[in-house]
Amino acid sequence: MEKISDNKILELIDNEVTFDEGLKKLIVKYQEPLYWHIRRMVHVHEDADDVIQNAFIKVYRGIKKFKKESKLYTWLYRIATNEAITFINKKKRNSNYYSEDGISDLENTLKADEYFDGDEIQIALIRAIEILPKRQKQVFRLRYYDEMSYKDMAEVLEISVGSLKASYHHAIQKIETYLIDNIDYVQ
Amino acid sequence: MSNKELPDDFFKNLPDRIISRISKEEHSQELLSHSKILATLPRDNPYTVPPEYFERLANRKITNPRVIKMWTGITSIAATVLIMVLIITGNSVESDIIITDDDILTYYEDNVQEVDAYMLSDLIVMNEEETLIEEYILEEIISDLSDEELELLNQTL
Repeated sequence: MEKISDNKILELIDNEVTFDEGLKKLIVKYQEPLYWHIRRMVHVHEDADDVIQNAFIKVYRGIKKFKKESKLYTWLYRIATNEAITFINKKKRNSNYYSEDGISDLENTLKADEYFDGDEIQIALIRAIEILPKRQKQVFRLRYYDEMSYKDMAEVLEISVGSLKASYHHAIQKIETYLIDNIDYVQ
Repeated sequence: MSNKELPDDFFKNLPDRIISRISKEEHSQELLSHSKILATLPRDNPYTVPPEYFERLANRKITNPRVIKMWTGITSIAATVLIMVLIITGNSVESDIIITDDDILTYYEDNVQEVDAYMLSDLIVMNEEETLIEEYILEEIISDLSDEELELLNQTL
């Protein structure tokens, strides 16, 4: 991640002359964490590529209205999350692999994907996450993979910290049970 | 040790590094207390991307909306003039209708307030190799046409 501060990026963006430079720096700084966050939600590279482009378009449109009441980082995660959810909802009409019923479709898609190198346990973990309730799914991914603080997650998902902690706890319990039941060597 | 021996921005970045480390340790402890299995699973990323994907992503252009608006205005005016002509002349229209630049400008001068120049002001991300603006605008214009207008357009093209 580039070391430029968010304040410096916003300063550049606030100035008409340096707007493009600021936007470019924002993209360079945040493209990877946002991409991986989106990828864990949509799974397929081509889909993640579409979603991240749409997310940056939204950022471009909305950055002037960004009120700085929240952190830039949580605002970006919020946009990326919303874009991925919108994409998933659209895709659900044509595919069911974002649901428990379609979990084998997802597994087949991942195994055939040239940009997926996961082993059996990683696929099992993805399956376990995918069958969680929506909120628990989001909370688990942000906490487990992105190691986001509960305070920041509260800004991204607009859920209270207490509720987030409970969701994370429930998600972990369900995933653990799933792994024990489905993977022979996990005990 | 003098400051000259420290990396640039060492003290500026120190608080963030400490907070990040504390946060990671808290997270590990929390995970361990909830699930030993998850705490001990390797968190390797199973997903990969094409070579140099991120270098290319950062270099894609997010097009200035003003350029899109100008294109949108011009193209939507041209389309509107075409449709107006088709509607006025109906089925008797000849297939070689030519709308000149003067027609477009005249229509623009007379109807500028009625033209929604912002209807396609949504931004488009363009790859260096891709110039999809025209296609995108055409699709959007066509999607706004009624069935009758589309039929008329089909007959003419």
